[in-house]
Amino acid sequence: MEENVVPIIALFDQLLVPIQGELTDQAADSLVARLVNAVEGGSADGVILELSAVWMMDSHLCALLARLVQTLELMGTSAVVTGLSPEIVTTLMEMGVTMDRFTTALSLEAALESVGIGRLGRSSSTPIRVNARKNP
Amino acid sequence: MAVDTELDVSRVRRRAWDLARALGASSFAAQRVATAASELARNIVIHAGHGRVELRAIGSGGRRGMTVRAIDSGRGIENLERILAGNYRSKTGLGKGLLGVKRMSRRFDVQTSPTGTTVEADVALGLDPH
Repeated sequence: MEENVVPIIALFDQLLVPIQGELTDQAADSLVARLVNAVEGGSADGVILELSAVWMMDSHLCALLARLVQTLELMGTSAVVTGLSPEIVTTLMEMGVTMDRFTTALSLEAALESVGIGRLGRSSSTPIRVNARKNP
Repeated sequence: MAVDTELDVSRVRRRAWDLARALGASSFAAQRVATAASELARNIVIHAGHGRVELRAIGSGGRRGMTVRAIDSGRGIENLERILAGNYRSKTGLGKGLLGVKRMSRRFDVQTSPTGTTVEADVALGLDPH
């Protein structure tokens, strides 16, 4: 039985990828291959990587994620990372591991809004924050 | 704890988190310890193949902390000075983890030689700045 298969969910013109638990090297390799296939063969304009169920990220996992984002971007597909816990962000900052290679969004809702998917008649009381990637 | 595979790295960081929480650490401090343990265990698997990680509670009150000790008998760390000075850039991103652990630690010590490496990092659990 194959373990840790990350789902890829088609959502309008986006692919939603909820990563849960711990992303092993093998699962990351498999995810890159499957996402590349999905992007190549489909009509997705972008990929949203949702990480709220990831409890820990070290520099290695961060590098895996950066490689995934870079691969998608080289294929002309946008990638937004969302759901990083405050603990993960604080620890990475403290370690000096920068995340400026990613476009990040505070929540899944913010990530969806950033690509033009929102609720009709939505009130504007909730701010939507998205941090665009800095150009290297 | 013996460290040979990626699964062991996962076990080490989970154990570090549990131990830190059992010692009363905040989720932020536990994250710091778990990440330090993960980085050092990961370095063993990638560079030495096998080794072990020891976790130990230290200090008391506001000086509470945990020592993460990673021991292997690999070929040692080349470019250690450049890595810890932040001047080392590799295509694989290696070295970032070690430097990251140093930055998170109250005390950080590396003994490395062609016959093995021991890394010790004291990570703060209390509210005091480290």
